[in-house]
Amino acid sequence: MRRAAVALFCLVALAPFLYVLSTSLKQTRVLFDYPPDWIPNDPYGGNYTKLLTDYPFVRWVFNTLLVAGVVTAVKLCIDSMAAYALTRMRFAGRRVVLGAMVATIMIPPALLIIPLFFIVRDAGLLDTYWALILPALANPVGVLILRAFIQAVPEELEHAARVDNANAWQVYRHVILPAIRPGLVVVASYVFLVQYVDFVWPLVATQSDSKLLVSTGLATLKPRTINVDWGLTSAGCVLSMVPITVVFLVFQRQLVGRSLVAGLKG
Amino acid sequence: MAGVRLSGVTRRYARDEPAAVDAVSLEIADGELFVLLGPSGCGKSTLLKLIGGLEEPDEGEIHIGERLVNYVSPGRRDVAMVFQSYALYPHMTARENIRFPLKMRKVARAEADDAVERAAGVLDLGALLHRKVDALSGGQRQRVAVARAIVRDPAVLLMDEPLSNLDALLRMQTREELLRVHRSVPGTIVYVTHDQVEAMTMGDRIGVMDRGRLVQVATPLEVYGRPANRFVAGFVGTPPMSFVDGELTPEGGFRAEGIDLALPRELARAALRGGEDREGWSLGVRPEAVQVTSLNGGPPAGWTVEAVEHLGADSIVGLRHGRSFLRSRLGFGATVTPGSAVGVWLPAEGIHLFDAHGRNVLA
Repeated sequence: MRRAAVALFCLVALAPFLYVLSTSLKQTRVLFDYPPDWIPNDPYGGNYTKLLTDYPFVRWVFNTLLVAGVVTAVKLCIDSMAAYALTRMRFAGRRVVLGAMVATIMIPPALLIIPLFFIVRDAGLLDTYWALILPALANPVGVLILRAFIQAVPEELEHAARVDNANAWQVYRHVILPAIRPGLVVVASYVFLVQYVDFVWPLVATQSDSKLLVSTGLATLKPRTINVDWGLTSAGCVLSMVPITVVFLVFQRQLVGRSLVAGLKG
Repeated sequence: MAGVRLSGVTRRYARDEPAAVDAVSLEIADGELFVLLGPSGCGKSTLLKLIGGLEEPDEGEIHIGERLVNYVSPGRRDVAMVFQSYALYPHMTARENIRFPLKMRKVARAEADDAVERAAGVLDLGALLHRKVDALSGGQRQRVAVARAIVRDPAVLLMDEPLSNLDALLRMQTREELLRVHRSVPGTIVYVTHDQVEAMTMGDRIGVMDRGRLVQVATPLEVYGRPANRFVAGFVGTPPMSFVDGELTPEGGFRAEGIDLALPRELARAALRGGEDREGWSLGVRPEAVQVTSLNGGPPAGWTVEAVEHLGADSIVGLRHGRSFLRSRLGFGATVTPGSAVGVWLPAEGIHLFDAHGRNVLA
């Protein structure tokens, strides 16, 4: 019974993906044949060739990985430091800062696009990588997630390190960071994914073809012909899933690998 | 190496709450193993943290050796600490854990290696050094924690209930081992525990704490034999001292339900000297000082055996006479049955007398 439910769920989740995969391997004119040819007996690779030769798809992927990679790396640094300070250090205004962070989450992102556009334009950063990277760093979700992980680190560990002559930075570096590693992986996955699929802001903030990301790049595939080239679009969709899948497998290995080792030895 | 001197040290967490540590003054000699004993929440761990610099005193001065350390960070106080949870760094091996205090002090590699080997040798950890913390048993973790603390020869070693996470057998072994370490590595140890057996067996001196105050500082035998007040008397000793509430007679005797005895002259004089109020006194007797007389065929005197606990080597017998209740320790082989009527005899040398404020008259 449970298996049947899982199988049904898998089918529902996988069917659209398989349909896109199937479409990407067909010429667009045979798409509307009836009955549909679910598994093309003569797979057509032209869509992929066209995507990779006629369009700068590789450049889009490079841009995306660059932006998402930089954002993820920088966010891990500042979020973990901010979370440590907000969790374990006593300073005036701590609660206010925390409250402000929570409050910003309540603002719908769409509401921020126009003011953000003005800020970025006035800073002279429109159509640069900075326009894609800097606004993304202001997201407080990572801080709040990591704060929860740091709260779970026993205070005695930190006391031990302080008696062992570690300063605040060393406590953070040698005790806190290793202890919240799973949290860092969670935040990295989250931030990376959000960046990878972000569409509206990159569309607003960049104009030149050289700054197109995978998300905005794929959108350019559609309007160039009167009849949408579904085969090409599908090929783009399928290929765009490759980098993010690889990144996730790496992250997942980090997450699972760690805890499994600990579990077995303990 | 250095002693520790506290003068009027107070730590208050909130203004409207009683102080966690209340005006504690104490001098711990260089090389002494000093035990801070008290129930949970009495402030003993806070006092330890104050010495270690993990808490700052609101009032008072803390000296380690001749140096005033109130504003010195924990890492520069030349103290080391062993925590109840061991607080080993989980992502490091045993060796890396022991080396960490040296690494944070930028000790040269070769020198650090030697020190780690030496500390590991003292605690017999040689074969375990490469293991990760989660691959160590509780006792092994405890030894790694001690090795990490002694690796750089601190002037003062602070231990916060280091044995309370171990099972009984391991606790006894580790106790002996800690004493051996103390003998082989000179240095002052301040040892916090709520376990009076640990305190009695390990301490050169014991400081008993109650609600933030240091109520008695003395050798283990003195704490047991001449407790400063009712709290200490009731806290130290298993099973605890029994107390009977009653009044003094003008002739220097003590009277309560089931008890009417003439106090030893010294005790009576000390008791009556204080004032005229003869009410609200209590008599304290340890179980081994309560003798059950009808076992020898004497006349029963209104006491009833309420409960008998056989501990193997001896038995603890609960005796009741109205509101008065006494515990007696009977030697191996003694047989009494619950419900039987017996007499009670209290030898003069086993008697403690506490005034209305709980103070021991003689202490």
